[in-house]
Amino acid sequence: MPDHLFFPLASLGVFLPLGLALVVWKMTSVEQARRWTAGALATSFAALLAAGLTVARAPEGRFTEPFWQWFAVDALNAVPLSLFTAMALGVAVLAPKGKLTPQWLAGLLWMCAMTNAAYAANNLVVFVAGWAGSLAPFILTQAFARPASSGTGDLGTAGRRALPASAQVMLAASLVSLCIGVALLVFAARGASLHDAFGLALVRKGDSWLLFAAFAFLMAAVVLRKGIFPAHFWVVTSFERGSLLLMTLLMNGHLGAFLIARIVLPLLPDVAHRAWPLFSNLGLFTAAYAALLALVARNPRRLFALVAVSQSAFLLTGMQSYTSVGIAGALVLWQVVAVAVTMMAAVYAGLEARLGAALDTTGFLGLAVGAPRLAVFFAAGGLALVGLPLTLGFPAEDLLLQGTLATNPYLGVVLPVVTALNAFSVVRLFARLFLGRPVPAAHDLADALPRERWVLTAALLFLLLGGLFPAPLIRLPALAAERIVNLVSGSVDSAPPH
Amino acid sequence: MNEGLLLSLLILLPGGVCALLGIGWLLGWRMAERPVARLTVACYCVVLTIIVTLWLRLLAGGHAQIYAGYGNWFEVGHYHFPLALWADRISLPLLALSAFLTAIVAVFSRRYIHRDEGFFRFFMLLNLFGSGILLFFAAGSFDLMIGGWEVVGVTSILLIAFFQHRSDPVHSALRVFATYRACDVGLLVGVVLMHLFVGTSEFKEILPNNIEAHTPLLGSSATMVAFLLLLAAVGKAAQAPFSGWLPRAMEGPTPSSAIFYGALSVHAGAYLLLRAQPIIAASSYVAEAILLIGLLTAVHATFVGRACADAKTSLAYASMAQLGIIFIEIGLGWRQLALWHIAGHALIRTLQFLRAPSMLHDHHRLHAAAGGHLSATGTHFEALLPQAMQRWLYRLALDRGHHDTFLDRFVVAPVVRLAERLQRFEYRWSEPVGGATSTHQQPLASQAELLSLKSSLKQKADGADA
Repeated sequence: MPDHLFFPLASLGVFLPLGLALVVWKMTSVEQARRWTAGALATSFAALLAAGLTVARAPEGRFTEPFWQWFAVDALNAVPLSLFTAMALGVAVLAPKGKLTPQWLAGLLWMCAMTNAAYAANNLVVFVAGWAGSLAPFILTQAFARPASSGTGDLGTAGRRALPASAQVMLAASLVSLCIGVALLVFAARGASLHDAFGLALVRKGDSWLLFAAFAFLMAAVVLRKGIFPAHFWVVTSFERGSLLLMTLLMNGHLGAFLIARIVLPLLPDVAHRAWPLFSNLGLFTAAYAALLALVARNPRRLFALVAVSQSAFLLTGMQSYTSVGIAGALVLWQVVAVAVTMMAAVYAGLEARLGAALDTTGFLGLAVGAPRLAVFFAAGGLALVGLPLTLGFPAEDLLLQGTLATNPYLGVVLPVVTALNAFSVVRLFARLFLGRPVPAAHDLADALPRERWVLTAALLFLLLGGLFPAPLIRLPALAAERIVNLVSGSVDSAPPH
Repeated sequence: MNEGLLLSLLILLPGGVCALLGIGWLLGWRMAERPVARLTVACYCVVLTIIVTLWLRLLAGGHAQIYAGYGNWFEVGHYHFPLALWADRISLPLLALSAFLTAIVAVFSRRYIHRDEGFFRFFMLLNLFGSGILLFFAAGSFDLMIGGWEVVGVTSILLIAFFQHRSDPVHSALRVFATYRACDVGLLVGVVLMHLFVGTSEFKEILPNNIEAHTPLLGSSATMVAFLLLLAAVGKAAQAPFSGWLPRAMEGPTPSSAIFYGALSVHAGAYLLLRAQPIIAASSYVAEAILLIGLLTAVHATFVGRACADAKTSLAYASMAQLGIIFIEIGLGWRQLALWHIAGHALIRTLQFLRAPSMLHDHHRLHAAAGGHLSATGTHFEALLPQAMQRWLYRLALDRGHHDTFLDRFVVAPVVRLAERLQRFEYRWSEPVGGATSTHQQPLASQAELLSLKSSLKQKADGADA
């Protein structure tokens, strides 16, 4: 019997930004729009944090809303809900002022609301609606388009689009694939009540062709949205030519990974068990392929995108381990990748805004002379991303390695090698941007502004305190992982690492 | 005060000073040089006192080791990461040495980098290093050793690039980082394999009775783990064929060269092997491999060191040669001798590094006083070799034994070639479907354009709520 939240906190986290998006869209003053956006996101964050704390007190529970059953919060989505809203809040505060528009902020609110809806979904319809809604500002509207008069910069460099056309096509394809997959999933449950067929509890046992087809379409949606090889190119292109901050947010929703953890593994355990290694190996190949490409990338945005794709692809390999350790590692790595990549993107976007152009890193720029704090934030984010001790990245990598090496030694050996390549790429990018003989412009560069300093410090503290005291941040993902393993195997952690 | 608390203070005190300096810097505090240096020196004096107290308690109690468990750092299912510290007759001397030499270097640095713009940064990193190396030596499990090991590595890179305005130190730092990360894979995978084979990496389980008893890791498992640990140790200790990074690391300020590459960091690899001695003893061929690597490195470093034209690089190769000998001692199982050798070598090399700048100054003064007629220092044994062989050896030494050439040609170049081919392939197939084209590889603004932004930037910075 599900428990209830004491207040519709998840609904607040979804509908408040959604409602404010419509208000902010009509505003004319950017600063006013930013204040309203930040206020709405801060309130949503507080509500979702309260929901998360409720779950933390009774982590075995799955808490639905007191009045309706559209949304539920449990160990799997409690952290992503708060984290994503916090990241959206950070992006709203950090977004460079120069080319910001109220419509951009409205799009941000909309995307956050819809991503939260997908996370908190208590049935397949709400999940699909959330998935589709989170893509709408990119595909259907011009919310994220840059003003026609502006030059190149973070908020868009490809005509009037926030994303290149190819990226929009890929995202639309992921939506179509998801819809077909969910339709097949519902069809496979014919005979069950509508509530069960659309719910997230009915396990489809067996490995009929129908279930295989559903699995294939759902995984195709994951591959397309997450940017797994060969669909990674749209992520890289969008990072290069689109808005870095928005792409970071879109990518770090990790709705693809969430789809696997919430729907694919629990609802299709038999099919997933048979077909999953293919996707896991695809994830590993993507990680290695992107890491190698990053080694020779000269454009910082491209390098950044490739490292992000590579590290994100580890999530698939962790989930393939079918151990609570490996899956928990993947879920914690999700947090690390999300925060670290957003932090680095914010710093880089800030540098571009200051210098008025994308940067050339074929030589050293020496920007640390003018912006030492931005340099520290960038370095800390990068090192956390690749698993440096004293950051949350270390426990995440440790769990991931323990989980994968226990079930697949081949994966477990390749992972650290790929991480080492990514670490080199990140440090190379840091060195090119911030070290070396300073270009003249570097001396007059403004260091972190107060609003940047507070947001980036909060992100840094999350990574550092999470690294020093990881247990609270690992507890919920660990429980979620154990629940997934139990659902899949029907036993308590049937494949322990040792 | 209980021993668990004392052991934890070893790591928390320098870590706390580093955090204090870091937070202060982030908040914009302007601390004077003297309090920063005094705080650091005081911290390591307290740490040294704690270590001596622990050592005396160990001796008085007649125990083999002091073990302090602090529970699990985190746990998932059946896996847990234990937080445990450990002090015994191998780690205590090195802990004491670390605290003593770090304090010495802090005292020296106060004057050496006086008024340098990186003074504050140097002391912050020195404390981070101190915390990392003390954690490494006091760790009670191989898991926790990774933490200290990586912190030492990253601090090392940041200090090599200390003079960040020049490109050479930055290039060197990148090279060192690449070598470290490549070799650290050995430690990471080795420790994970320990968990896989015996379910733990805690010393009290793997090294019962302070390395005298048998380890539960046996046969091929022990061999696999030991070889991986050896890979990590070889990288950190600059042994062949990964020795090329050590002379490059000399780009950092002299005090950091002394503490890292003369005293402590380079000995971390040897300590790892000493700690893993029971696993090495239970494995096949690893001891022989350590012996061979040590021998090759000692000979190589001796020859190369004689062809070096500057003091710090000569000292780097001298360190490398001694480390080779320490590896030989470990390979032969002479643990006590290796430990004494590490301690003695660390002390003498720190002295040499710290003395090097003033010695050069003295030498130039002496040279001038002698009217530019200082006599040669004498002949070497290699003078007994045939002329042709001397020339060949000289050429070999000038290229530093071709180690870097070998790695560049047979490891780095193939990886880069593969990456470039993949990149061409990527452009070729993704361009028709709307992906990046090779023209997008070019950045949007060149450095020349950035130079031209200088005049307009001031206004941007002023008005930039960017």
